[in-house]
Amino acid sequence: MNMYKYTFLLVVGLLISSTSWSAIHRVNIHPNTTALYQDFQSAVDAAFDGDTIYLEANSQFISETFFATYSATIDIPLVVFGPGYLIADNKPGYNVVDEALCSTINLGPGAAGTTLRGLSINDLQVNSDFAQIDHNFISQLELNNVLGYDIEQNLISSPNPADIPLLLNNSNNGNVSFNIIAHESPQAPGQYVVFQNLSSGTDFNHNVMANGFVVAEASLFHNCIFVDLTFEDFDLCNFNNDIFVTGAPVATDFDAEGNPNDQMQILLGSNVQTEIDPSLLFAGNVTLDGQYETYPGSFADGVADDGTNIGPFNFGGYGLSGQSDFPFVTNLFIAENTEFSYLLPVTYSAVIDSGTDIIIEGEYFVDNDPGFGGGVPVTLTPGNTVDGFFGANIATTLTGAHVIGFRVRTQSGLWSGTEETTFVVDPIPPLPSLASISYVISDVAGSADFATANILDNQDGGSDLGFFTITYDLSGYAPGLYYLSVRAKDEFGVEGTTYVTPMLVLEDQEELPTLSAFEYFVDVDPGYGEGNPILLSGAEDLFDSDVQFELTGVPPGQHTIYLRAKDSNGAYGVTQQQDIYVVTDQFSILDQNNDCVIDILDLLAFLGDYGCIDDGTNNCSADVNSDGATDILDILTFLMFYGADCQGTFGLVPGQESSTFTE
Amino acid sequence: MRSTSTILFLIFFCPLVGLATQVRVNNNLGIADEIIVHSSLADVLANHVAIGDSIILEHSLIPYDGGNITVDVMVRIFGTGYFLGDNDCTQADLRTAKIDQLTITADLVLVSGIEIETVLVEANNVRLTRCNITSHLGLGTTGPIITPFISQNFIEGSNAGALVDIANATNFIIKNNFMNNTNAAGTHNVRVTTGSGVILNNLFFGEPDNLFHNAVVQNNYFEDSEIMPASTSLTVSFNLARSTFLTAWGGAANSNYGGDPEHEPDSVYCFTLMDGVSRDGKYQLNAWNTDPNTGNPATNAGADGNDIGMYSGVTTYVLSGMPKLPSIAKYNGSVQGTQSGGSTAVVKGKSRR
Repeated sequence: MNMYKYTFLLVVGLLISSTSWSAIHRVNIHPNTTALYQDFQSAVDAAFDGDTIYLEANSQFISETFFATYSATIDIPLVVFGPGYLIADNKPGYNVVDEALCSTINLGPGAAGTTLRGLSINDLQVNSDFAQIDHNFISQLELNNVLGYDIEQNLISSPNPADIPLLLNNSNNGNVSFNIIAHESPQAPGQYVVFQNLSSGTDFNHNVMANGFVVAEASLFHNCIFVDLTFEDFDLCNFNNDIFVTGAPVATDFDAEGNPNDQMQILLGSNVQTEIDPSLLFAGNVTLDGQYETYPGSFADGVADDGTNIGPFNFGGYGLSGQSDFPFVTNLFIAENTEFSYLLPVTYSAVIDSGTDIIIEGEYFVDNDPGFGGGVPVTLTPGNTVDGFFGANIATTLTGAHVIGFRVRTQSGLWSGTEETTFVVDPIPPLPSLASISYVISDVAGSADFATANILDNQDGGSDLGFFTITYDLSGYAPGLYYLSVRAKDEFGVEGTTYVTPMLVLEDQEELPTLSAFEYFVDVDPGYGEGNPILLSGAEDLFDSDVQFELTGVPPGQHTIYLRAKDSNGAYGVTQQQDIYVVTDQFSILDQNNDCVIDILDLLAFLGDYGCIDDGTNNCSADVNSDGATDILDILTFLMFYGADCQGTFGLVPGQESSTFTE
Repeated sequence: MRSTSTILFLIFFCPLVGLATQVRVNNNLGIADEIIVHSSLADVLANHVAIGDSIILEHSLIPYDGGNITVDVMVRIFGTGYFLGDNDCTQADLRTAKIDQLTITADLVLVSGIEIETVLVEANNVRLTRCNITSHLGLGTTGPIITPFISQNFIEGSNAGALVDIANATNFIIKNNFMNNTNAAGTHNVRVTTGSGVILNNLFFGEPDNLFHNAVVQNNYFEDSEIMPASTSLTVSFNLARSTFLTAWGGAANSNYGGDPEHEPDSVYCFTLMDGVSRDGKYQLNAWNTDPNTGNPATNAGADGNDIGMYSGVTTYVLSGMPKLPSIAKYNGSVQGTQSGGSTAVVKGKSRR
């Protein structure tokens, strides 16, 4: 019995927990996203009743075309949030501008009470009761056999004339308020903006309806602005507090004669204004939705049946780009180039356009979404608009591409969508090795071209340092000033600053010639090569020794002897000269010492010059007898050897061959 | 935005080897006559480069062009480095590449290794690294910019206003710089008027204080240049200071320390061995002369576990601001040769990252 009891309690508990706990699912198709789902349908399939799905932006991938991956059929009650639409058009200060562009969303019968908010939807089929469709941009909205729908604050507009922006098939008793329902330009008959087919009881309140035709049944149109609109059929409809804008001459059924609508009479309601000049009504905004915003003090101000302004732009009404009543991250800047910092700079802003709720906190995560509320808290100053900066800790983040996500939460517990962006943690750059140096020799006229450079590879491969000895080959370079340009290259081919230095190229020095000969002559130059040669065999470039002059035929007396050198190239040098006095072979002793007295001193002077005994030593001295004194004895000794007698006999006196004259 | 990120990544990090053109600029007489070498940086920017090209400013005694040069095309401009005689293995030619004033108006421009009096960054994602700025650096002075990357610079000069003026910049990164407004009467060393970003691993010297807003301030050393009390929305942690002013910014609870003898610059930084030798090298952490009991308080004291100061982390300050280019570090050779004998030279080359 107790087992049944506990089993019952467990089932009840599970039911309670399953119904009270609403999960949040993220969908993002970016390849690097941290979202669990990358297509809408998978998230729907995984969700339970009451769960929330955030459809994150995808428009950057497909050039603003609707994306099939964001299509889904929903058959359980869900809440689906998107980031809004036309953000780039309406919010020039935002850098978060992407949209969730959904091709087709089909709310099946089981999706009763589902909320769709902030989405861009090409085709929305509602087949479930009590759908809450608000703050969306919808090209075609079709309701089929449903009740209690609430279509609020949407831009329902199509560029395709064949589309019917709002089509109600057998759908009754709903609310259509604060919407812009329009074609993008005036349309021809048969192109409908709203078509109620077997539908009635719709409250059209605070809408703008423009550019096309309307078929309506038993509905109330109040506080609406009609622009270039024709009611083709409006059985049992009521019009109160509406404005008909003067526009193109579109015929209406209000005028049986088919006159333009600025001439029609609205007789079915009260406080209806017609023939209103649009320039006196609209503020002049040029965006797709903003063009219908009325300016303060216009004909729309304060004349709605609820005391507010006619049209959708009221407090709590339509918000440009669908961004109201809900928090949105509006800017997220990161430094894409982290440059090896352990902190990733992140600057953000967020907004909620609400009179009752404010943003109170933020959170971020890197790579792995820990779930709403599980991120790294970001402290901020609470408000409707928040902005700030934080440094995301990426100290342990590995090299490569990463994702950072950021979102904010309001006081009421609403989370914004998660804005993600990527960043890259670079690998620590390696120190490249030095591959080579290259050099170019250029002249001042300009011919340095490293395409023809001489290259010396680094023999110390793998090192960031290299030592090189360059031997410049200057052959072929005319003497003159040149420039040497040298630079280094690393292993990645990166070349550095060019070192430039001048280089003076000199003429080659000739080979040093050897000294080949002397030639000499006396008194008269016979010409180069005609002098008396003194050949030098084996000489180098320097001769430093005695030479012997032959003076045969030179008459005694004062003369000049000339001497010049000749090298191995046959070149003669400067001719040097030396005065000489030539004497006869017979000694002629004159005033040898030039004292103007002919005496024995002249004899001794003569001996000093010529008194050389042929003893092999070639020593000449006046001290012929080598007694240490120069005197008459030396003269006698000399005569003993060289004196001649009357018979002409030279030499020693017989018997005195070894004698010397000494004292 | 994600697509933009990818493009930025590709532009920033594709290897230089893939560059379309590398243009030499040399304003020395004679050199400029060589083919493919230009003498005017302004002329090169106007007529001789395309997006993605690199420009190498070569050694010179005189500034390039003189006056202001506007960079309005996405290029990379590399110089020679600075303080070339102070440190080993820099350049054989000790002359620097100088510019009087550089105004950057094109996104994604990179400037590195140049001696510049004044730099004005007026575009997004500009990277200014390894430069010697001698008078003024302005960011977003004519309008908002995003993600200026200012790193590894030696910014020192006398400025009556702010030496570094961040007028309007989102996600600025001020990292591994030396900043010293030598004008004691100047209004600021670094001033943030509008913007947000990170201020990491810098040295703040001089007397004018710093006005920061919306920033994370970590791993810095403040000599006499402090954070002004009027600063707002800051996360200040893991910093050192000569004085005790960091107590107003969380103090020890935020791992900020100062006021003790070991926080004197002479204790924290090497002012003895390199003083008078290298103008930037002397600010390296003094690892060999610290208190044996406490050690150097800057060592491994940063929020990331690395050192406090500009010589820390992967993007550590690079001596002499040598850009990421190989260099001819030494050249010893005769200035003359003969036709048949040629000439010889001994060369030392160095590659860098």
